[in-house]
Amino acid sequence: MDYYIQTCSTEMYMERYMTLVLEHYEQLNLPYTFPIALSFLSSPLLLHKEAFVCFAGDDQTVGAFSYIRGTADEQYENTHVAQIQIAFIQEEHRCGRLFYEGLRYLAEHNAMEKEPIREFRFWVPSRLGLQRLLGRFAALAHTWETEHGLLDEYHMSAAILESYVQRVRRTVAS
Amino acid sequence: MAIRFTWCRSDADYARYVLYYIRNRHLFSDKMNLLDALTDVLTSIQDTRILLILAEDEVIGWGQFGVVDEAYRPDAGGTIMFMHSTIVDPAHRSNGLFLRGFRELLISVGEELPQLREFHFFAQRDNAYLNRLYSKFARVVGQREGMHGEENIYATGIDELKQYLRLA
Amino acid sequence: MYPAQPQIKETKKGSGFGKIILNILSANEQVRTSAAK
Repeated sequence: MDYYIQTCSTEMYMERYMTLVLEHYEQLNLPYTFPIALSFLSSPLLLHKEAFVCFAGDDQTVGAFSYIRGTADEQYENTHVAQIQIAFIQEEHRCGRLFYEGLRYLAEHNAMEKEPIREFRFWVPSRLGLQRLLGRFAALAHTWETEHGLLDEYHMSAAILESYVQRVRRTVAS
Repeated sequence: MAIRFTWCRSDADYARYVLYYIRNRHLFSDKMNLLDALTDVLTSIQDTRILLILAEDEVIGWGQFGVVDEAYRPDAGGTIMFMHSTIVDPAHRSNGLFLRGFRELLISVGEELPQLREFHFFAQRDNAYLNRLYSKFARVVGQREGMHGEENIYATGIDELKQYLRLA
Repeated sequence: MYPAQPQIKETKKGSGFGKIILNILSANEQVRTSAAK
């Protein structure tokens, strides 16, 4: 299976991104009410187009991820920090390769930015049991008790992301 | 073809509402882009309720309504029901559907919001058909500058509207 | 045929989008850190 990742720089791709996440909304496991989740999902499009769609060979959208720069507590001025708003791959395509390709694309895209992001943050419901997988390249910074259950907050430094991607490249069969 | 109405309640309902909006936004205006549609949803979703129109369980349209004050600002205790927007597949549009939708709305909100006195909505001034239709049960109470030109503001009493629908 | 004319609220264009979404996000981000009630 050939995968490729596309930055949502035009409306057509933005629409593919929004359509994918809405069609699979329940599978996203977003621990928020719908209006709040929608604001998180839409924000990368409404701000700086930092949204990406994953395609399988035949132009089928199979995954998406996106982020925004800055955090509310610093009025979004801390632009070297990014919040990953969604990272989703359809179940049939969670083979490991596409996940790695997504991380690689993110690292390469970031390295080419005028002002590269230094730290990515993301939030994952604790009940999904992804701590071991995510711990390979991110640090669990905090676990919050929210109305929708326990939420793990991860911080992933761009430097660690890059070295993880390099390490995996050396061991992955091409 | 079985047509039914259901209010958005679950996340799945809301996702269907937004998906339909994104896919059919050109029915509002061919200049309406994706970000316009998303912004409209994000700024109105908390203060409105959405009635989905389904044909064989497929969304073929929806109506979005809010309870407002005289300045059309969201007000949960307001006496005016305001039609924020409605959209329907061209193939399914009919007077019958229009009236059924209104009946559905009045039956639902009648019980839940007994304080409602009036129903308001906007119509483009140059749309002769719509204005003729609306004049049958509502009257023009003012004008405003809308996104696509001048609009008439229509108002009708909830009781007036109920009477009209029973006769229709 | 009834054209079901929709009426939409004015949306702000250009830099307006950014301001609108940042206001919404500022309020919403709190749910990621609020303690259970």
